[in-house]
Amino acid sequence: MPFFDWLEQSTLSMWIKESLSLWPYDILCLSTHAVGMAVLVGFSSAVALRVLGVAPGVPLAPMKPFFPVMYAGFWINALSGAGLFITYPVKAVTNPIFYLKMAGVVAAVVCIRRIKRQVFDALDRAPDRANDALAAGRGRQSAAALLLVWAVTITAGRLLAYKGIPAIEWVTAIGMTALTAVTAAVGYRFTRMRAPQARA
Amino acid sequence: MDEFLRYWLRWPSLEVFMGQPGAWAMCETLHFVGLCLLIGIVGLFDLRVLGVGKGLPPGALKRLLPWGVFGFGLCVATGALFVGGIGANLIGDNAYDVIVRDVWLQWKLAFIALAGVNLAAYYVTGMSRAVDALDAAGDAPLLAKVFAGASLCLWIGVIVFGRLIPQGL
Repeated sequence: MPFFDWLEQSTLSMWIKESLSLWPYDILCLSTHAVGMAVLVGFSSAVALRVLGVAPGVPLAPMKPFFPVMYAGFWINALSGAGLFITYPVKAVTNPIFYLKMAGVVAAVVCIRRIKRQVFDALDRAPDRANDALAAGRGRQSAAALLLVWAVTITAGRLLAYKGIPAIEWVTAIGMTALTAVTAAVGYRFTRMRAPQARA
Repeated sequence: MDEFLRYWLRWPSLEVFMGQPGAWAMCETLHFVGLCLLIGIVGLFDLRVLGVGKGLPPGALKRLLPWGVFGFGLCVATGALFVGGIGANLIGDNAYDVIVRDVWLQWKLAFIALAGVNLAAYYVTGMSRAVDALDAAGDAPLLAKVFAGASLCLWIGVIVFGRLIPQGL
């Protein structure tokens, strides 16, 4: 892979991974990536939980200003992720879990945009508070999908550090799948129980 | 005192558990899930107090806070597993010695404690009652905004120091 070999030996890559300072790799790449993840995943999950019926007393339309905050988190992670990628690109592109993580990020962005379109842009056209339950109902599938996608993406992201240790990869993947399935089942029961109240 | 703390901070059963394949990685993943919930929910509330998303009644927004508390609980539980089971990752090492040696872990724990003090002050000074009483478009008092801004900075600091912990081991 000549291009990725060149990238791994490039001046920027060497500076990031070989600097004696904590700033290039640990702070600007790794810590910033964690902060961006917290902002993007955290805020989008909060909106998704509300769309699914948690805290129905919170009006939906005023949550729209938080979408730029999510997008800021996305771009913070795109830049810091690029920094992390160029330090060991060969290790990344030869790891199937890297592609799973990237697919997860794409799927999550699609879900976020669908929620914005189906719920919030629709509320812009008909801002009556009574329409909240209807709007939320349209976005429920995207919101549930978003939470599942984030669970997969965060797990995949963490497992990138364990490449080449199948026991850890498989146990973690199976364990997180089981936990996510149980949480999703409980969440489904919870939202089905709340749905009649939302529609009333 | 050192030997007392070294003894009580070492949990062989946790080391056995954390030494199982995938246990450490799963705890790390759940730690990230917890911090995302914490930052998302608490961050949302803090930004509302700071004036973003006017139209959201803060009193109603508090109904989402239990999920942030759940995220914090997840972080505390997995964090305790990391500390108590450190001997599984650093063979022969002790949690007390790691805490004394790792300046980034000390900063992280200090920032978590400061976030708790900040939260207590938010309640004790009556700012919690003042914010809860706001209507959807209300502007929070300046002191409440100071607490909200401090909360955001402290929790971001916790994340940054947390990622630096391996550098201090």
